[in-house]
Amino acid sequence: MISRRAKDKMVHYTFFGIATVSVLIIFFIFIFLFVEAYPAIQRFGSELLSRDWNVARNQFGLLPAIFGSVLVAVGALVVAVPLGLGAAIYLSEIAPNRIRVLLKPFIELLAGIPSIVYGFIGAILLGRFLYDTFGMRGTNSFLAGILVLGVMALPIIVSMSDDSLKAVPKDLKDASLALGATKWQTIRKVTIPAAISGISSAVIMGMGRAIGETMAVMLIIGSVMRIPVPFFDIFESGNTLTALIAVQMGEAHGIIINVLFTAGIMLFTIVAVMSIISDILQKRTTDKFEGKR
Amino acid sequence: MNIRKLISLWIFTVSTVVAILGFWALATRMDVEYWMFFVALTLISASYYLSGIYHHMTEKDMNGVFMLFYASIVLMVAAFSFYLPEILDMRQWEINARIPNFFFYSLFMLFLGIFSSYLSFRPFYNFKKEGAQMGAYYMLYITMIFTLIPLFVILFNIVYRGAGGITWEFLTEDIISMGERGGVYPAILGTLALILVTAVIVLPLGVGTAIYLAEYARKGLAVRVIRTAVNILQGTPSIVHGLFGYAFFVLILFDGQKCLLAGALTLAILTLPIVIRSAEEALNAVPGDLRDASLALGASKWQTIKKVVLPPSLPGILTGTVLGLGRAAGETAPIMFTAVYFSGAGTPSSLLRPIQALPYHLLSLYRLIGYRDVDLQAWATALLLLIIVLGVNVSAIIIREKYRQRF
Amino acid sequence: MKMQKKSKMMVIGMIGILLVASVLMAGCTEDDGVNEVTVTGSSTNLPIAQMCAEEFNSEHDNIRVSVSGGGSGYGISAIIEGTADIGMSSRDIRQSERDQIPDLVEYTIGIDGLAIIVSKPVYNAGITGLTTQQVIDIYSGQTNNWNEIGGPDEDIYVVERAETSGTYGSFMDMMGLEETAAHSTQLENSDVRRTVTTSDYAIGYVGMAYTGGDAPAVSLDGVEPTVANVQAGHYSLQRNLYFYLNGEPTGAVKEYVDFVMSSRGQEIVAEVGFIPAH
Repeated sequence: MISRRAKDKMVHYTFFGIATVSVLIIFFIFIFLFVEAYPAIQRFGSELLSRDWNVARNQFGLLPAIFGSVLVAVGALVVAVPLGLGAAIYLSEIAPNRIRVLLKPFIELLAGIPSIVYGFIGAILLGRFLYDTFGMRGTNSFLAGILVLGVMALPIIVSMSDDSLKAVPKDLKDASLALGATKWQTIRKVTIPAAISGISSAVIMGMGRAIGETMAVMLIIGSVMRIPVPFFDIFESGNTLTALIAVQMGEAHGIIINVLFTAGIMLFTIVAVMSIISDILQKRTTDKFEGKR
Repeated sequence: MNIRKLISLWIFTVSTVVAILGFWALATRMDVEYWMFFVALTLISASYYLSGIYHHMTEKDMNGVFMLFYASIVLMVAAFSFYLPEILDMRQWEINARIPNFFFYSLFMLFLGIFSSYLSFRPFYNFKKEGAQMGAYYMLYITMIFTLIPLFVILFNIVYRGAGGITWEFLTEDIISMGERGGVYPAILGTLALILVTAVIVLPLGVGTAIYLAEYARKGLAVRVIRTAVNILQGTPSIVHGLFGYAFFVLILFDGQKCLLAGALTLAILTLPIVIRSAEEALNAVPGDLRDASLALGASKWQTIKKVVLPPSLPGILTGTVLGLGRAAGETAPIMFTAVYFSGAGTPSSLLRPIQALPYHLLSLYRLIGYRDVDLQAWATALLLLIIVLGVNVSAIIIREKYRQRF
Repeated sequence: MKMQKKSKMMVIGMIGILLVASVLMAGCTEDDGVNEVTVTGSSTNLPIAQMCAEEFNSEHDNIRVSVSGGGSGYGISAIIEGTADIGMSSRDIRQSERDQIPDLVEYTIGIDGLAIIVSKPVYNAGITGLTTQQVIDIYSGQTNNWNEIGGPDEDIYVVERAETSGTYGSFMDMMGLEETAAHSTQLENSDVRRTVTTSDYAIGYVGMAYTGGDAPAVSLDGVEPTVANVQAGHYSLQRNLYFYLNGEPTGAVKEYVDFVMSSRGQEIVAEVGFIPAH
């Protein structure tokens, strides 16, 4: 019979062991992506960051895809941030509780729709709609990607901003109201500035989702490895890192697979850095208010 | 209600109608003529003049109202000076679009309508602070509405176009002639099997990690590393999970064979952070007093967790797990290289054999649209997928609402 | 106390659901003696392998053929690595690949003409035939507007296959192109077809089986991509479709290959729009 203390210790270490699995997974993901990517990195080196992509000539510059990822993510934010922030302020500060309880699940439903369904609808309905409206060359475009990703980033931005707005202590708002400010002035001058780091973390997470989204983008972006001229021409088609992997991986063999894994590493690194920044920002919010409570 | 308020109300109504017309015209690509935009502008401007007269306005009061005029003048001048041709050929600036002029007119109408209805709150509240506040609130309602519009568009289209395809045959048969006939039975079972196996893998890992973080961990480097890892994992794009699953599970563990277990393992990694977060939240919601009481009675820490902390936090843990599984059920990218075939895999019978799954089925059918007559089947698959995923989400939300606020 | 009871019931409920589900799943395990045949590779061959597999599966209870796409290169590397029994390819195997498979067995299951398709409005406006040079000019970006070759005054939307696909390789080789100015890259034949049909002024190339309806094929240098023309060798863009195996087939794999090569199998090849190999 083991002593109770020893047993408790054992349980403790068991749980610690389980908890380290997540760390191990991150480590493994990086290692395995790197192992698969290494032949390409070794062979092409910094050429992988050039803008020339031609499989027949063994040119694998990923810059067009990186550019495309950034373009659609920024575009998606332009669509999603004003709407999402407005909706979050409405939900957290203005909506009566009855409506809030009703609307919040709808926002969650928006987040729950699978990305392939967004892509399907986007490709079939939105692509043709934009084609007809803007008289573009074809049905694939950055614009379609931006709109779909904007809608997909909305729920994240709404619910995370909503949380951080809700986390602003009531004392702060009460003080402002007591000084004679209207509710709207309080929201504008007190609540939003207080929640700003939480809101920025929401925006970064939204951008992370937009960069990492695959299925919806690959069906509408056109998958052409070219930077549009001029670069802000969102009516052209292009490619993103995710769409590049998803489309080419299906038929890839040989060195291209390694190149695609390199794209995977880039993606993983970009999004990991964004998660860390968002995390630090969020922690700042909680730290700020915990002292005041 | 005095005449001034009536006028403001009139302005609001007219502006809203203009905004809705503008939106409708945008959505249906209605051929809006220039004069429609012009009439809307004149109507609204005249109403504002009327309102100004009735308010005997001072210069300061007029500021807000003048903003509208400035805006309308700018818009009008812009519209005139461009003298928008029937189709604005942006290719002359190397931009790959030819935008018909009615697009601009309906867009102008939408913004004009929203902006002027926003301003109409000021005269309504006699230029007091409430006016600005209500105007701002109104704008927030509008953002909320625009946030919900895509949801309704998506739901409406899928239900409207897909409902006809959901038949008994569709639910109970395998694919026949590349999806033209037959159904998705193996894909339904495959998706269910995937999330079931995923649940079995992810629950112990997720809940275990959460218990460690919530109950055992003290602040320190180890905990910070674990938390950062969980956060990174949460943000990791699903296609990266797919690549990893292919490189590790498929190539190394299963000898190059796509299979159910490889897909489930990949999905387990995807859902792990969701389960950890919600489980930790649920554990933290249990008041410390309960733990202290149990410890004071001489129970060991593990006994306390097992008997006191876990039972009341179970609904929370379940909610999180179910939400995570809902996400897993709809994911395509992680299983694309690790588990699925379009057809022929049959009903799932072994962990080590490939399966069919609904999200991938939808992708494959989408690919065949135009070549094969699969439109209805594709929409029906989308609807079915949506029903399953949203059903899972709704049940999670119900669990949460039912057991909410226990302490 | 009441709370705990509820939670306990939930646990029991969850376990119950899991149990029922696993029993249900176990119920599907009855067909354990099934021989599995996996076929993967080119999406051009896919309709043949797929339709043959469906008929074959319904005739053989103890064999299950599963077919998936992924491209010619993927199909060949799958038999090199042994992850599939049969690799489908729409291009000839490369020497570098052949070196890795000592006992390569090749079956020509059909012949395909690579058809140039255009959107319906373009076809209706009179573009019913192109010359090889015109196709080259369009794909290299020198011809940008349909009116340059007698069509409507609209920009050409150029659709190509993913660079890693066998069809892309064949097309580029036959045209002598190294680089394209395409506006859309699509994974599979059906994707190209859909992209061409959903745009009004597009051009693309697909396997012959994927033409017709909203995606009319144009003649090349005056020769229509028809079964007769390809069979007679008049149509210049044609290639063989292969099944590649690593070693002589045995058992279930042999039965399936024999079925595809049988007269019924070759009938299916013709039914889905290709030219039978014999």
